[in-house]
Amino acid sequence: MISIILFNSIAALLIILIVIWFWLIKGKSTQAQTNEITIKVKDGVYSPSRITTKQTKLVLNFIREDASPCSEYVLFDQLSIHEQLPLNKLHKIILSNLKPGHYRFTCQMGMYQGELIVNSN
Amino acid sequence: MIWPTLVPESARHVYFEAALIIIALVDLGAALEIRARGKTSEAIKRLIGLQAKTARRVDAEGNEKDVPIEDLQVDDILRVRPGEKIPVDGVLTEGHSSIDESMLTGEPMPVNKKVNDLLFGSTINKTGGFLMKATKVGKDTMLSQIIQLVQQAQSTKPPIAKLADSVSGYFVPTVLILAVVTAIVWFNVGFSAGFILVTSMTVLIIACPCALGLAAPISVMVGMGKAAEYGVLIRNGEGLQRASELTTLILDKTGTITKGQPEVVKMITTQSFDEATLLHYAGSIEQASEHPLAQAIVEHAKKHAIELSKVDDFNAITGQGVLASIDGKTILLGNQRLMTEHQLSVNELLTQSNELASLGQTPMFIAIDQQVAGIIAVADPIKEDSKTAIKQLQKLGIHVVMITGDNQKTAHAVAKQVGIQEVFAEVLPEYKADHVKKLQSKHTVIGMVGDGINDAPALAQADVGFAIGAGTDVAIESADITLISNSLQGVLNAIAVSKATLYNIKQNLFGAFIYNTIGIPIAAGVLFPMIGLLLNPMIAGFAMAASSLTVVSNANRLRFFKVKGQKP
Repeated sequence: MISIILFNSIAALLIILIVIWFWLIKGKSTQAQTNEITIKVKDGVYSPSRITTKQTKLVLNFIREDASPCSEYVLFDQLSIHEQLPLNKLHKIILSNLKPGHYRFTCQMGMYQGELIVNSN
Repeated sequence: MIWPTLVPESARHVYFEAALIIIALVDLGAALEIRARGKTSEAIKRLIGLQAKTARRVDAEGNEKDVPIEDLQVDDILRVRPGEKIPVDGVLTEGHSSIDESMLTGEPMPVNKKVNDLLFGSTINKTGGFLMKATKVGKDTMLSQIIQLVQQAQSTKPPIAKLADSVSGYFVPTVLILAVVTAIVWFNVGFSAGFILVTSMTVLIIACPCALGLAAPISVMVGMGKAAEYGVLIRNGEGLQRASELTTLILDKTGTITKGQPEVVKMITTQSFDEATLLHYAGSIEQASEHPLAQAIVEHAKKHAIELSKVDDFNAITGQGVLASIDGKTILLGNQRLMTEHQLSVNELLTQSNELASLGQTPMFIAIDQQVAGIIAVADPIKEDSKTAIKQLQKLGIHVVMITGDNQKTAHAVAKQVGIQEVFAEVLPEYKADHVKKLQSKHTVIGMVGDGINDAPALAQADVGFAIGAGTDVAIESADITLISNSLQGVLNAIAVSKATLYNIKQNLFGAFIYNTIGIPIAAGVLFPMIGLLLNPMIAGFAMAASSLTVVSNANRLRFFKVKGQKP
């Protein structure tokens, strides 16, 4: 009986942790100090995945170290940007005339996810 | 296994072979997927491959030297020899030739080019050698613009993909939760630790977010490239989907159904005058006018080597015509109203004038020194393939409507010739968009085809705007789809490719949804209590690898799509 309660409790806790991890916790935001920031594509994630900036022009240096075909493209849907990321090479994406707002960036399938937050000065 | 006693006896099986085979299968699937995905961008690679590598530059002293195209500057003079690719966009300055532009327009017939005609980089010079002046180089050439547009469009998604996108966002955590729920259920039912481990792991292995996420983007990528091969540039996924759902298509008359280049088609003289005299005065007076019909008369006079005279006291009367003094004679050229206003009777020519109008031609009366001398009929010829294309559109169940600023008589005559029943005539440019709006309230998906600046608001208002031919930049900016060729066949090509792409996306989405909705419950063991079926994790690994590979392979089938009777 104890083992059943223990197992179910651990499983329920696991479900709660999954919900918190995927839906409730927002990743730590990285403040872009200059107008240039490097984003690594590695192990299924963008690092950093949340970037906050006040710049209206931003240079994003993507370095793709993840060989998975899923990570081959990065898409900024709201900015109509779609760039192929070469493996183990730096790829610059220049964003200009950025207006305050939240811009999602994802891989082609929406599995790798990141967010660029532009705050007004 | 180290310390096997730490886990229950029923969970001591090591599964080394399963782990190995699963990793091998997933890696094999990924490798095959990378290979197949490489093929999806073949259309773009082919477009890039069209670019010429070198050009023969002629310097100020007349010396010629082969240089890489990267070194070319605007205003460089280049020599293009027969059989060579035109290196960059430019204007023909010396000589003439016929050019194969099929790689850009999809039109198989070579186009004759003479001095001052526009040339496009990467098209092929068929016959004569000539000199050209570069006007656009590097990223500004038409081919580079096409490549950029297609690359950008390939990343967009049609509305149909929205469901898959929202599911993808929740997919991974949902599958993790399902694996835990599977474990909870089997544990509480009383199954062994080994069974619980196998079912939970199989759920994680079989779930394939890739198939779902790839379903639309991969087909869009191939479809956009395929469309570009047919000279159809689709701006985004929404345009692609809407083009496949068209119910009504509005065609602008001038430049879309007709050639947009009026020409003199008939001359009728009264007894006292001959054609040469008529053409002399008509050509002379129209030199001063900027009206497209005037240009047609001047061109016609020049073609017949008629010497034109100086025009004095030129006066254009809006809605009627022109009057001026030439060689001391008073010349009137215009419609019946102009003649009536000047107390001139056109009764003698009225029957013929009405006949010409009923054929879609514009008859213009000419009077010399208060005497009606004849009629010059100008018409904008209908493009050779307009009638066939309209018939095919109607066969597809699309209601075709014509819109024009022309008078009712001419508009209906042209519509009759091409088989269109519904016509909006005498529509001022600013009201074209209103007519689109009106139709949108009656029909579901409205397309609009036009080429001019005046069509831009209507193109933007329509659900799918098609800018046809070398349309103006404003028209192209406002349109969802740009047809490089100047033919209505381009609309048919766009519809055919978009329908094929949408069908392909639907197949992919259906496959991906079905795979996951059937595969995950089976992996969780729902069939075990009924028929004793439990999925082996290795088979789950194979199914997972195969599912995304199937999606990519199915999308690749689009590369072999052909529009009936058309060559890409």
